[in-house]
Amino acid sequence: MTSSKEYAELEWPIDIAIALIWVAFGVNLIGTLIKRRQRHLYVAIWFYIATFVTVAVLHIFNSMALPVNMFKSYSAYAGVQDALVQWWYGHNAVAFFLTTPFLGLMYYFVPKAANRPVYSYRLSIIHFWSLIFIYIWAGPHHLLYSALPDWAQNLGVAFSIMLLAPSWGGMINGLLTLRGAWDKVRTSPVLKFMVVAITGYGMATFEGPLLSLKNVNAIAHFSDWIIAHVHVGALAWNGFMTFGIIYYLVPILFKTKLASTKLANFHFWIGTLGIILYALPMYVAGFVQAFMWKQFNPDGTLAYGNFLETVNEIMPMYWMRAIGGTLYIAGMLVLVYNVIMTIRQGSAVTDELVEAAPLTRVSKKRTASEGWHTWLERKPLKMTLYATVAILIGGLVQIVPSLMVDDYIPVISSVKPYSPLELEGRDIYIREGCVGCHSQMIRPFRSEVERYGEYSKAGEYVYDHPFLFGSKRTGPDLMRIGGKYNDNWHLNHFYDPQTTSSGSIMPSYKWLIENEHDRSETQDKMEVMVSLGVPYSPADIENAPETMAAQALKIELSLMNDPDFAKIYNADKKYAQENGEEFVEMRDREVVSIIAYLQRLGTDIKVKNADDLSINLND
Amino acid sequence: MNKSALFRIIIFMILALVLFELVAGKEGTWAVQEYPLIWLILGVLFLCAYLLETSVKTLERVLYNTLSDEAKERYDAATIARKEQEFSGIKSTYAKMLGSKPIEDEGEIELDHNYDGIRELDNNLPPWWVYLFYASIVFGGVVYLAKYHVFDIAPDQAEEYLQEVAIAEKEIEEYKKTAKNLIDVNTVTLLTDASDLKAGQGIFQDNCIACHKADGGGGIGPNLTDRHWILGGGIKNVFNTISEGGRDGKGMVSWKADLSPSEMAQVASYVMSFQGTTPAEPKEAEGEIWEDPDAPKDVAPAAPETQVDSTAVTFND
Repeated sequence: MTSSKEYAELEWPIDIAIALIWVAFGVNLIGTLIKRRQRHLYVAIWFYIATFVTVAVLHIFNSMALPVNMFKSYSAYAGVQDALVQWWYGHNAVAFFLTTPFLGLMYYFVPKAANRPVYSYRLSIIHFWSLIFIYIWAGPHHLLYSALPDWAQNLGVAFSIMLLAPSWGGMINGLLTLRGAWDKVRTSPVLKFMVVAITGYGMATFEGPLLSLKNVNAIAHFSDWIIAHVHVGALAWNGFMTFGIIYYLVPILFKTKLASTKLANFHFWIGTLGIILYALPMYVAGFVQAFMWKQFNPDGTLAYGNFLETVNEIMPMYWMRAIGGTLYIAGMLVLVYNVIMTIRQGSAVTDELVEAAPLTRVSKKRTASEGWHTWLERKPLKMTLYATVAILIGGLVQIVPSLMVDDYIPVISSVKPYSPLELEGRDIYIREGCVGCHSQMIRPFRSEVERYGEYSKAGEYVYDHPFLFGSKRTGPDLMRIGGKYNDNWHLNHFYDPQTTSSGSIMPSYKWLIENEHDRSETQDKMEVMVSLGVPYSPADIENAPETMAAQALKIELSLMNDPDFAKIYNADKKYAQENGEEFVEMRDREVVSIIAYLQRLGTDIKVKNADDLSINLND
Repeated sequence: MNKSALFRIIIFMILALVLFELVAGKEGTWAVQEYPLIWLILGVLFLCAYLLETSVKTLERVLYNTLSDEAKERYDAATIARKEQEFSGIKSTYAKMLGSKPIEDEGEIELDHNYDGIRELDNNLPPWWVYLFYASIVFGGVVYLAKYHVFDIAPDQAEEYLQEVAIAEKEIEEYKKTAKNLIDVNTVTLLTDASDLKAGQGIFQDNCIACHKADGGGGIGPNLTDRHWILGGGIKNVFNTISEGGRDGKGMVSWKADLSPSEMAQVASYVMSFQGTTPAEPKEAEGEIWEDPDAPKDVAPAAPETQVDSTAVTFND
């Protein structure tokens, strides 16, 4: 059960539950701010406000979908539009779930732990507003060289470049807060974790703009480079900041000292080593594989035409990554042990009574000598409103044209909706998470056209609810897999990928071959698709069961071409009949549906000769 | 020997090595590999540099010892003063680019609020950061976008692709002019050398047995041991089928991206060697009996080739 949208895989009832919880959180957050007894909002609070507002907006708009039943829905957007909305969401989910709240945490815990004043108040104002305003524009850099219109891609690149300074503003304000406290960093594990966290943040946010340059992205996208990049962010910035906070907080909460500073230091070193052993091999793997993908022989053929050669080359890197990850997890276990020991030695905590006088009323307007921002800091609702405006602008400029402008996507007349069986097969593709390892997006590079076929056009995806571009090629692209292999090849490949592709690391999908496929809701699904704008006629929907049965039977018959398959299949059938067991005909099984889908993929404009393309495209 | 002397020697040696490579190095090899004599020269140079550094140092020490106590003191003071001046330019530039108040004076810029014990300073924005921000706005927001969408001097991705292909086509053409022994469907001949057939067998086992079985008896794909061929028999047709692939969605895939032309010739020749053998479980014959039209004892008219039109466009209905 998955919607297949990255970081937003959950189906619609859970999406609604998340929205409700988020609203409850927001009410509590803003309500507390209104009742506060501290006149001005500290910078950490600004970041929490931005987090709340933006995640709410992102979550609601990206989760728009029409349900078929309780556990199945189709994204309201199709193809390129869906991709654009998804990556507006996906990029900013990172920004406003893993960056802004952690900057808020940094602004509280770093000065606390170091007992130093925050370096620069005005820097925090400038980098806060510029960060939240610019971040929201950067999403399209996940779709460079895709079928997304060039102007949207370039806008994403431009804002990604501009994002460097605002991100680094947070880093330098954190690191310079430690000015005069570097001697403490040497001894305190809390500060050590925090310093590496902030440094990791700086590295990842330098790499981000770099990766969004088109020529760098051409190498890094779909490869393990991106995996390395995000893990520097996740393991160093988010992980180490969290560890530092835990080591700082637990002893204070339980009025004791940390059980073992030695173990905390051990955790620090094993964790740092883990990050290095995880990230470095992924950088190497990304580089190596990307260059192998692009390598040509002088006669114009691909040097590594077999995708598996490029996978096998980087297998040692995957092992090193596993070791790095294990070290990191081991460090976390050390932390858990240390926390438990600390809590056990701590004393019972009695409530401390803290009192603060209620705020006296001051003018709503700016008082004399009060700066504009200082005034805003005592106006939580205004601040929330302004933050909302700041984060809405970028999204509006990028997304609204894609939904409004008619010729945003050039129409290709030969592209038709999926047949009912193909639609069902596509749902299996979604259910099994094929998109996690297989892209459906051929970029306009000679090396990709040579390997996979004609590059992807925006018009080919107009009936794709949701889009399935994918963002990592652990296996090859499947955009034009249709018609490449015969049906038996696919059947054998699902049963045991190594028999058809020796050395493949794809797992077996035996159950697809055994399971009966429940196609009772096909017509409902088609109805939903019609509501979303897919032109199925009433007759198409009414005749769906027959059309589906006919296409499935055709595939079953074509499978019989392989004598080995026919022999085993007939023997199974005979055995079932003799023993009175229920037998599911091949045409009723899941694998037939997914084969139908795969054989359709990319065939609407499939040509063997690139020159013929012009006759197919409508401009 | 002190650190700075060591540093000077290392820099000197690296410089010497780079110069040698620049002057005597050729593409693809290192000069030191080509002329091992360079190692000797480098060794001598190192010795000279070392001797020079030590003798200067010794001289300095000797002269220092000849000084009176008072002079020694003056000399020491001057040395310390010089040390302090070292890198002063870099240090002051750094301080300027950071633009922060010295820690001693930070009380002057401490703001009057206090959040749970957290105090805030109001240091200036670091000038380097401000410049970085401006530069990124100029580059990203102005230059980059203008390049693509105002002046149209940068190609969009479709144009970029066409340029890439055009360059590659030219290069391939150049290569084919000079390259020898190129095998293609017109020049391929049946190979009979044991080594070629053995290589062909290896390729067959790696890539083909999933569909054709190890003994060529057929499974997903057709039986290769009988005289029937779907896409025509004979080395040329078999080579062509391997290279270009068969019928869409039914036949086999194209292998020209995976195998080199000579590998395809080897495996095609190996496939031809199946003719007339008896596999364990032969698949029933598919396609028509193929007669070689060029065969000397050609009496009967050759069966028409059932080759598919490789330029056909397939539509989905």
